[in-house]
Amino acid sequence: MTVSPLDEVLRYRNDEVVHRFSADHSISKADSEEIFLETKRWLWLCANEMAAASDGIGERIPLLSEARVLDMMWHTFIIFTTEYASFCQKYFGFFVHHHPRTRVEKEAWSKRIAEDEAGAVAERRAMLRKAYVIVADRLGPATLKKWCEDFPARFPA
Amino acid sequence: MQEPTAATEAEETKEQLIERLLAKAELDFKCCGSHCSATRDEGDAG
Repeated sequence: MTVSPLDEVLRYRNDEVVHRFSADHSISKADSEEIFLETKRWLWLCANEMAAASDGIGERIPLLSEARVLDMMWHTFIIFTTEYASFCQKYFGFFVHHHPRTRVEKEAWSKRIAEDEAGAVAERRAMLRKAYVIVADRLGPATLKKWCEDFPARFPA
Repeated sequence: MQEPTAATEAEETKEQLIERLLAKAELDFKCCGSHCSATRDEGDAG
């Protein structure tokens, strides 16, 4: 099975997810709808990259830290396990797992920074640039700007 | 000097945006490192 076209994925609706997100984070229904739309865009991008990888798995795609609000919506979506699993199966043909940053990863990063800050930052910069380019090339610079500049300004931590 | 084409201007805009975002993100990833990520099970692949 191939990943569904983006416009089909974006037509998926789930009012319960949007309502739950709106209530939990005191964000308007209209803004929550918009964030859910962008989260579906993010999941489609991840699924496409995985499906296109030669091993069918690909690299872990980092969720851009600036796009924190998408991660928050993803968390809300996966509370509804049945609907989330059905969504992944219907539109992607496989389950898209969520991997939080682990304690071990955090500790390893702190150690790496302490030992070789310049090298670690350069490595992270390259990883982040790759992620930015994927978003800009697949979804357009306007989406990258929205996720990383507009959303953090509108929905600060 | 040759005038830039529309495609070149678009590319420059994308690059400028990426550089601006990288500059802003640098402090964050110094302290935070990686973030949540998405993966697919090996059993799902193929």
